[in-house]
Amino acid sequence: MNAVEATAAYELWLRTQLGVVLDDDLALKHERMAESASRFLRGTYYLWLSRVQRKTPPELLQAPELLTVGDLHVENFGCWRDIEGRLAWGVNDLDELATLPYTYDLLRLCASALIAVHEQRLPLHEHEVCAVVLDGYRHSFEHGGEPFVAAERHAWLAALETAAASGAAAYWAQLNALPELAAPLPAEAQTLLRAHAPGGDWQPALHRRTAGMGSLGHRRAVAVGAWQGGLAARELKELAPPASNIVLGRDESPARPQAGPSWAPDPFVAVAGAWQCRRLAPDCVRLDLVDYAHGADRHLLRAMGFETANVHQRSSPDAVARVRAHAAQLTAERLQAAVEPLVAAVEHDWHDWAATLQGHG
Amino acid sequence: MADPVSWLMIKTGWKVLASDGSEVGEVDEVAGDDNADIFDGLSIATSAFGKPRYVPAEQVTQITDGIVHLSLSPEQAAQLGEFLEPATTAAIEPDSKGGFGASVGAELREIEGKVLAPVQTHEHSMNIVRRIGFFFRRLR
Repeated sequence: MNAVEATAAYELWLRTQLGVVLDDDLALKHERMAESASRFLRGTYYLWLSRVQRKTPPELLQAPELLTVGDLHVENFGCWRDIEGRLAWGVNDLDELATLPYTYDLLRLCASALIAVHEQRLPLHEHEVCAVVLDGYRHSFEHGGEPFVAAERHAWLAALETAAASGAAAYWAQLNALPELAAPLPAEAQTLLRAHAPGGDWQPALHRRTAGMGSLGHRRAVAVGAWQGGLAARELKELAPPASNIVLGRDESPARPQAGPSWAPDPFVAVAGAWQCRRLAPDCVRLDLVDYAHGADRHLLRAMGFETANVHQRSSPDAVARVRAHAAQLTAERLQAAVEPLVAAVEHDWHDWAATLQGHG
Repeated sequence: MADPVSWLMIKTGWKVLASDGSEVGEVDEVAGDDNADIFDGLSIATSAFGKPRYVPAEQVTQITDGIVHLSLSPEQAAQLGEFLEPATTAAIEPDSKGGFGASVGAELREIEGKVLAPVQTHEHSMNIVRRIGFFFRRLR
């Protein structure tokens, strides 16, 4: 197998699942995948699943299952406002939610962190990555999970809030400058947008938005318009079933987990049929590693491990209990030993991909 | 040994085994006349990027629940001819064109073309999905 064949197969499947596939965006995705191993990892979740199946020791591959993020990586975290209006931080994109062994999320999060270390974008030692993630993960389970919200604790979130406020004018200017949406939204998406508009009198303009990595090629639109003294925006995106369905032969349309003690979700995220609607704003964005304050990298990675367990604890109590017991026996050394071959495979595949693209450029 | 079942029970996705017990593909379609109980043969998917192969009924030695056994060796199975489907008037056209190959080159367009071809000319979308799934499962 190589990345080219796997990508061709995945994209053929995608064409059978989506109403429309945007080829210009897919072409852009292929180019971005060649830019770095991190981007390659983000763009090839289907290939990752295949690699995990072939390279992971049975003790991790056959670990207890629960609702996992799936496409988890160090840049799939972001911030939003929770129902109390507090700035919340956590997993940003749940498009690939699926019931899988919990270890899948840990392997992918650690692999993405190791690749970021190799790319000198995360100033940690390789040998500490898995230990830090696992420590955060287990700590969340030990305390029953707890969301990250900016209130009396988590002062580091305040820096994100300040950054969002200072970049607000540029953010809205960028959204307003997006090209006009050429094709009308399907009725299903229009209904969803109306249901989640800030008010009935909101008259937004519809724009085309090219964003993300793994979901490039999906239809995506942004509605932007003035409402009660300022701009408001909603993003609409067409979702496909999780890639684990085709790669692992599963048949699942997992429901989005509900709010609870371990999760303070964005109340403006809604899914209807194949479309997802979410609020967009300077304080409601996915974050790259460069967006965080320097010097707190270990703390950040530990928080990512903790937050991963927060999402996992939205599964059934039985599933959570099985995972808690299994994770308590998992050592950082065993996790690291499983992650390293996967990272090597990703970096090898990325080199091949970049060479292929260059050869045909 | 599992109990034999009728050819009428065969479903897409059942494993197809060569005479040595190795898996050579999955059932893609069953050709025959249900009303007259005439079993013509099977279309089997051997890879995501190849067209389905035809196995005549004479080469099927046993059918058990979920498994079709052939009298052919793996080498003989690899030489099976292409399954020629009856043409239909329905066509499933992708809403967008170009796809993967558009950005990576003609060599790669060929990969996609091998799989896309039957989609564009036959009502066969489920089989394409099955073949893609089979491709990924074979990777393990």
